Amino acid sequence: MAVMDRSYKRWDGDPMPHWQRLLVIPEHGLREVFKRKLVRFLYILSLLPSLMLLIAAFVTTHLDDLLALFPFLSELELDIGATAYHVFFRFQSFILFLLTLAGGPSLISRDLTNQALPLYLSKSLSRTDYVLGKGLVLLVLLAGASLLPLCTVYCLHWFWADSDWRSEYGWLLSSLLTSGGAKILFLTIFVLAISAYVRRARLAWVGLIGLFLLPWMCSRGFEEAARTRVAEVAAPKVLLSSIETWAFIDRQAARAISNKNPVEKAIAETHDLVESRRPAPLTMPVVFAALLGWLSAGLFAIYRKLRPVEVIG
Amino acid sequence: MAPVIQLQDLVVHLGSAPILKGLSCELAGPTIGLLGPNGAGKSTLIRSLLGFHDAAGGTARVLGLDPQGEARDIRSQVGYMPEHDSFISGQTAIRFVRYMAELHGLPTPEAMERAHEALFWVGLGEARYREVDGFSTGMKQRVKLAQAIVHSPSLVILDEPTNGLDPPGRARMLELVKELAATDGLTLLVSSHVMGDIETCADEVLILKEGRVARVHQLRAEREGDHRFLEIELVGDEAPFLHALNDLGLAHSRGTRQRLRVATQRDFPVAKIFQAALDAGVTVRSLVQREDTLREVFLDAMEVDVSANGGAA
Repeated sequence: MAVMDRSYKRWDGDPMPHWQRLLVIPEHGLREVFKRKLVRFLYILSLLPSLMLLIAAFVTTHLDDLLALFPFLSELELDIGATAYHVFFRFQSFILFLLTLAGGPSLISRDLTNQALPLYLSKSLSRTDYVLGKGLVLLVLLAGASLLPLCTVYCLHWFWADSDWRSEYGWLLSSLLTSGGAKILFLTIFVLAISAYVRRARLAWVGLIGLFLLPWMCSRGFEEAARTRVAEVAAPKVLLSSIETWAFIDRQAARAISNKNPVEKAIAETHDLVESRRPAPLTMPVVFAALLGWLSAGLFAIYRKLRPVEVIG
Repeated sequence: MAPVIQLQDLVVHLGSAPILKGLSCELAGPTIGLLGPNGAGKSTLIRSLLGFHDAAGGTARVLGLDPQGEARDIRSQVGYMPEHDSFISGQTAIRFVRYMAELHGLPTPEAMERAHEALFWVGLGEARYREVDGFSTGMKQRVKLAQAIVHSPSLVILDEPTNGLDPPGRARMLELVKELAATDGLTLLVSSHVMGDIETCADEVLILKEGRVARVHQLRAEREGDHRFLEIELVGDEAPFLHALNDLGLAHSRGTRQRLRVATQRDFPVAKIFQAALDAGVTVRSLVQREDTLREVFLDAMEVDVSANGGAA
């Protein structure tokens, strides 16, 4: 008969290095997040645009080979360039926002509700380690749902495409990374900040949506009244849109003279026309500085709230 | 035995309120009791030892390390069981304890193995695949104990381990604490406001009152010692009687309710004390033999005016 020894025994093994312990939080966090059906559904949905783009990129770059098998493809007029990537990026950004709402608000709030913070911080982990671990959950989730697949598609497209396409759209990867990176970083930090202060998921949703919509509406009102766009520094939605516009449309417009694609040329011209009727936009250094200010404020808010013990006074 | 905890004029403020007001003592264990009424500063002291609160003055050393600068090293050697319910929502007991072990640096296979062992040891073997959220108070206390010991710490800090437990649960928890205390190379710091708990398991007791050291009492030495206490109530001038006690080589002090406390060997004849009283011309109204139970030590300590003398270590 087996006898179970139930006495307390010591463990004398070698512990993992510190960096490896940091990965434990995102590993467990991602597992918890993916337990939710809504997150799984949105994650799969967010991969569809990349899949469609991949198919389109493959077809356009292998048209000659495919015509033998599928003759009807000769009537296909597909031109996968910056506009296509921008459209898919925008769709993914919307899904990304929903994914953040589904997976983010409970990341820290659940630990605060269950007073789990002393458990984390009584280990050899600092507050920075904790925030980094929780942040990595969202960073991996969001980047895995948007930036990573889209960049992979771009790299494959670049590999399949001819030298003309490569020279014309070589800048797209940096645009995807800049614009997508800014969005993911902002969403991650602010969802963590909201999660640290608001313990109910629905309130957190309202907080995040409000953070995007209210300052944007106020900045538009201020623009109408004062004919200046200075107030946009306080509107994160506008700042992120400005970065996206700069990354995709402005850089594309700069190449419009030599651009062979009439659709992209028309988009650039329309954008210029719309912008010419509004006051001068913020310059990009100001936009990036304002976004950096927002991110710093978000991190400060997180650090202010996250303590191993609540101190009132 | 080298001291595990050394405090030198330790002052800790929470907000603007001073909570610990100049604690000085050395505690070697192996089982240290931390006793005091609610609000005496027990939990604050524990959190300060873990580096959660900064010292406003003085120094503390835990396992020879400074909690201010070497908190990470201390925490890697400490297992902490917080006072309040602390768990990670939505996790089974085994996942929770394994997660805590991994955060302490145990590689995943070892963490899983140790989590099973720890849960069996605390008596939750059958419940280890149930979610912690649904556990009773007693089970939650035991799962907290399991996560505190899973990584084989050198020092285990138990903050009010019997809090909220019914009598059988309390007895079971104290059994576990005693078994843990018997482990070689392990020091226990048990905080409680229940004297019986501390008396059951502690070798050395630090009694706090109003954020100051009221007394450090060696319970183990007393248990093993060959002495008893006589509590004497006198009528008449005490001075000649005290002189006579000194001549007999008996230590004495002022006990509760102004009674005289005299320490004697167990086989010391009481008749000699009556004779000394007769010779000194005082009347012995009562003479009671007492074991110096923790209750009396505690009541004594509570009568000490700690604010006047800055603590009596």
